[in-house]
Amino acid sequence: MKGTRHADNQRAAVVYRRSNRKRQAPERPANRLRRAAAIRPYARGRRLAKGKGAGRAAGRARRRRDVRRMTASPFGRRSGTTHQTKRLHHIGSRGRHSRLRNRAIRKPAAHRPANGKYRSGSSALINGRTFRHRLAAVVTCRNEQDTLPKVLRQLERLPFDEIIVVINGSTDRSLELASKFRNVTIVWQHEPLGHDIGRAVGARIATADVILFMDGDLPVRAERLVPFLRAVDRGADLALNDLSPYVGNFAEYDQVTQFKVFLNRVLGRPDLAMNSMTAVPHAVSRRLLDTVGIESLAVPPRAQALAIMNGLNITAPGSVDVIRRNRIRPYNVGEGNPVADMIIGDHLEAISCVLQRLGTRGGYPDTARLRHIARGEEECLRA
Amino acid sequence: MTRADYMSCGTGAVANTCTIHTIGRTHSATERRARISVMAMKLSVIIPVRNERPTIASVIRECRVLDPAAEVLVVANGTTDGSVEIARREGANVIAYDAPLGHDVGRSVGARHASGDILLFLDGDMVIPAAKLEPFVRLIREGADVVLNDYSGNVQTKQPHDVVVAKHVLNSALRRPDLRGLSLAAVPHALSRKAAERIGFENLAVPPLAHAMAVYGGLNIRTAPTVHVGKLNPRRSHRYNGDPTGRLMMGDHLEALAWLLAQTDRRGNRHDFGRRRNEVRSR
Repeated sequence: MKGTRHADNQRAAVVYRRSNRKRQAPERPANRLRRAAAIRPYARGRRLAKGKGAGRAAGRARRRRDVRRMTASPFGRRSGTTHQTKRLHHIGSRGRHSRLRNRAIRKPAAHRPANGKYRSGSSALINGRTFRHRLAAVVTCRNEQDTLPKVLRQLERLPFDEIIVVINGSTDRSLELASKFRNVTIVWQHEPLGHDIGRAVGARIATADVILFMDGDLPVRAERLVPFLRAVDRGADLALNDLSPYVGNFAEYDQVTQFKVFLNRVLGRPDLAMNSMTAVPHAVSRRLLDTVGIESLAVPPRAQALAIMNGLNITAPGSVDVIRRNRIRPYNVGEGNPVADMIIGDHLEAISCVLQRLGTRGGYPDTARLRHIARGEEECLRA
Repeated sequence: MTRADYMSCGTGAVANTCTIHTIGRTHSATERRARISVMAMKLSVIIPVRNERPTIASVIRECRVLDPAAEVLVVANGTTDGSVEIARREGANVIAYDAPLGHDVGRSVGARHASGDILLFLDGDMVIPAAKLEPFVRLIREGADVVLNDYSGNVQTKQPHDVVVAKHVLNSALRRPDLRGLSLAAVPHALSRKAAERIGFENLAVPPLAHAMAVYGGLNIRTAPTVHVGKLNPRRSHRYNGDPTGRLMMGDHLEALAWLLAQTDRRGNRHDFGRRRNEVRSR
């Protein structure tokens, strides 16, 4: 019944249009055909017949555009800003840190290495987009058989020279599934290494100049990873995941986020907000590894503090929502859970490191406080 | 000082004052004595003053309203606008220094000279009605060692002030996230004499350090209803002068964290969640 009525209505509409506008109503193409038309919107007859866009050059440009649209490259078009970065830019421009983000996207050209730094065979060419440095990805994994293949599938879409999977303490099929991928180096450790140790283990094996760190439980589309790689490829030393679009007012921050904000502010980088090496994905340069030492990656906030204190170039060029998408486990839920406790410990360790280096007050002034009087060493003039 | 020293201070007072509210009924002799001693607790108000001519008289008058028998100690330092004379005219005990002592040093000096059992700390530039100060004194009488103003600063923003962040972080590091941004760095606050002695008078000059010592020492910390000091505080445009007070407070909080990390280990006694660090130790 319903179907019939619907068909009647449709026919009525067609008739109405036909009689009023004196134009043939387009036939509703099947779903598959419609999709094809969306990919090649200019392939329809009338618009090509005459006027703007009918010439040979325009046709060539159109075909080039179409090819670009159809090949799903994570790098987008050849012009400076890709579709993806534009979107990120939009997200960023809402926050108060937008200037930082814009800078990260627009200005890294200044840090490009000289041409001499090209390495033969190292630059990866996809759709005309070149990376100047060799790229590596380090994926840490512990019992993540459901998500690890998804992670690797996305990484395969990018021109990595090395993909290193550090599987530790896994009792599931992670190893088997990872070994199905070609060009993946697997580090297998029977016992669990503990949080973040896998990153350092992977980084030690990597030989590339740009190293992207990922978790096996968090698949991220290749398009979303490009900004991190590109930032480091163009001269940044650390490209952090910008989480500021995903958090609300300070009143809603959990303890860990408060510590992240504090550490960045103490070190004079309030613009980095709560962005931290604790969160994946992030990419680092070889220079960062040489400066802070690979072993310090095991305590990410400490590595970050060292990077800032050493004046390395730190940006937050992309945003991946790891807050809502983080896998819920028995030990990472609720305030004061063991993982949160550990991360707070990491930050306190980073702060100890800062205080050791910059003094008890972290280099902040004591603005003429007469402490001997506070200690009561000098009796005052009682008026 | 060891942790045990701090711990021992927190109890005592609570135990013998828990019957205060049952006034009017017959008590044992011990209870009566305890009650009398509590009611007889003398109040000292400590007011550091620099150039607070417009407000100082009202501040002192509110103290008199709060408790006519209170000892009002004005610690004037680097005063040039006649605040000292006004304070004296209002009947306050004035301790005067020619040179400015620096931030919060006046609190140390005042506490050292105070004779009361309850130390209430105010600022000379902020007139707080006696009715709002009353809970601070009452809670100490009821056995608290430290009474804080229930004020965390402006947290309904994406860009809180450095000091707000630092206060929250310090409390988290002390494993008291429930205290949020409450701190001895904010006025008004009250200390029992015992607590002040336990913290050490000289440490009161660095309020976050005193706060860390009070919390880590397990003192009995209570909160009084919010006094919105943010609104009372005159707006200082730190955007143009580099926010020296903010930087000072940041240093104070780092000093407090340094103290805490010296009492514990470099991770604040937090575990490593089974990290096998020797796997990546540099060779």
